[in-house]
Amino acid sequence: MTTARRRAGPTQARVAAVTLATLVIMVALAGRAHAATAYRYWAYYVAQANTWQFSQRGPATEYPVDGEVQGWRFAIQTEAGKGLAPRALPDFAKMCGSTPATAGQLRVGIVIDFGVGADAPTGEHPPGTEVSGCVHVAEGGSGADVLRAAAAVRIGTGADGGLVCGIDGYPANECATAVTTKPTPTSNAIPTPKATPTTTPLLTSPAKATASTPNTPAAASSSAPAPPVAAASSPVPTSASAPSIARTSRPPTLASLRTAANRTDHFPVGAVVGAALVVAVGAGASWRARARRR
Amino acid sequence: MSSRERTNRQLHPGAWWAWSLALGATATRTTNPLVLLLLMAAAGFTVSARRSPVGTRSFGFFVRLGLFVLAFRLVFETVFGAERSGNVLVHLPEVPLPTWAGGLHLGGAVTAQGMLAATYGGLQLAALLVCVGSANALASPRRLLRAVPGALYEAGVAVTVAMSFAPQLVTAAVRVRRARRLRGRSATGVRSWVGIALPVLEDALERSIELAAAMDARGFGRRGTASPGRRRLVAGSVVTGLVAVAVATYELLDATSPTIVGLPLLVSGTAIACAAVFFGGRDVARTKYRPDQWQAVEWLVVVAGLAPLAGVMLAGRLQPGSLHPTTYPLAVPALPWPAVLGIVLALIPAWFGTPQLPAAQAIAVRPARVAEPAKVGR
Repeated sequence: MTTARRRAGPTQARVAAVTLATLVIMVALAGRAHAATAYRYWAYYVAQANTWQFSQRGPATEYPVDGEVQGWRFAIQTEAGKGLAPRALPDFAKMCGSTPATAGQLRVGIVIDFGVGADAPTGEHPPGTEVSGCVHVAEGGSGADVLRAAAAVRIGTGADGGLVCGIDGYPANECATAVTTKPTPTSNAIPTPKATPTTTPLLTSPAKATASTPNTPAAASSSAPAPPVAAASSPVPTSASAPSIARTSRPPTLASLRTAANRTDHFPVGAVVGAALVVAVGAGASWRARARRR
Repeated sequence: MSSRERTNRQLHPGAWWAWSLALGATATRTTNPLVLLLLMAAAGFTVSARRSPVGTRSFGFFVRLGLFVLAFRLVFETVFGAERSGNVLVHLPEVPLPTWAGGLHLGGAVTAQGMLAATYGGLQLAALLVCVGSANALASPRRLLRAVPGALYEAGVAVTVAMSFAPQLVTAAVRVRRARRLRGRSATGVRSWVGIALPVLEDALERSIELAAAMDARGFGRRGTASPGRRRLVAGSVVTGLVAVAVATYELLDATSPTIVGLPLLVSGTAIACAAVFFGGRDVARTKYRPDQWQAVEWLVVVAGLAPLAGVMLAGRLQPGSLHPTTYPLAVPALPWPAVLGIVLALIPAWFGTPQLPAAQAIAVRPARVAEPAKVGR
């Protein structure tokens, strides 16, 4: 019995070691998720009385009426509902004024705001500042239909199932990622139309929204009671959005977004290799199983 | 112990369970169908090469369960699918639901995007089931329970009886049906099941109780020499430690609670539980016939199992997006190379694990096995 004991002892120690290693890995994983205080995602807004309201419902269950304006804003949002709205005003007359009403169809204005460069994921730039336009959806269509009519949408799978992850390929891969860096106070102070209804030229003038990017930080720092951090960080969007200005020399339109879905894709080497591996290992498994049975 | 027995010894069940559960953990981190199918194929390959001679039916059962889950997921998507726009495959008649149903649909358009997303989700669940099944096939859970520390013997008996009941139900059903067929009575249809149910339940329960008695005879579930107060202290400490670990895990995984609480709680909870298990185990004497050994091969199996987990984590860093391929828009999934490399490494134990016992030897070994009073040939 003592020999059995002696043998069992080290085994238990090893089992404990494996358990401990698992715990360490778990803690390491948890630590990474834990540091996050904010999420970077496409927030969904619906205009009410000419101001943006964070939608309490998802786009699949939000049913627009004719003459409504819906907005999407990509940003680091600290708290749902009090975050960053699209920077352009929800001006239905400007977007859909020239579009005649059709029977059985709803006219819905849509604003897609790609946000500032500072909010972009590492290695990515917003493909533009913002686009707006008018789309037709069949009566009974949802906010999701409005968005799909306007742009190429990427929807999440797995844990992110059903979430709107990317619009027009931006961001390329991530989906509602938790970010470790806290958003700067200015981010919150970038004017939602509700806070500063008519003070900034960007919001009142229906001029090209893309051209007015440099105004945004200025508007932010002038409209907000600027704390020192705000002053320090106000140049960030300007510098970071420089490449986006370069890219928006040809600003994306709703039409260009629609065609962006069909990007050129090369031969899927990885998928073919993966499928071949699956077939090889699976065939090996069934062959061995059959050989065993014989 | 002769040298042949040494080379033919079965691997420590803990190693196979760690290998299989690491593969399962890999499956939880991705919805890429290539990775998931490869995981299932790897598990199947290893099982076909290395499964333990006793209890070989469980893997096929788990594979069928996985297929059922996948099919169920697809049926659900067809009926309640939320993905209404996209490439419509078929239009089902839609039942209008009131708005308070919260956007729930019944019927309507079935889209390729929705079905593909459901397939990926179903495959993930199926891969998890297959991995658990491979653990069951590679090392019987009863053998794993033999390695349970002494302080948990009492719980071990209850768990063993509970875990052996379901598999024995399956074997009993097969046996009773065969007997029915031999007597020339129909073994299919609802009516035959009524006649089968009672003998099957009776048989399975009887076998489980026999197993419990056999375990009791070998010292499982005994109280040992400790005083009641000491036993209560040990049991209380184990429970306290495990509860602390559970609470700490929640604290750590929940992004809104402060880390300052979780980490010390986790460490102290683990310490309490381990100490209680260690000291409690010294009070109980249990004979062990052919104790499972943990040697270099066992380490190899564990490391090989952890390889795909490491690979999938690396792939998450290097190839973001490849672990969760998009279904809207439809796209050919990319191959996360590190994960695939890890799965290939996980195949190593199929060759380097202990050689499997040929059937004749397996039967010769069976009667001597402890805590597995499975009746041979009945």
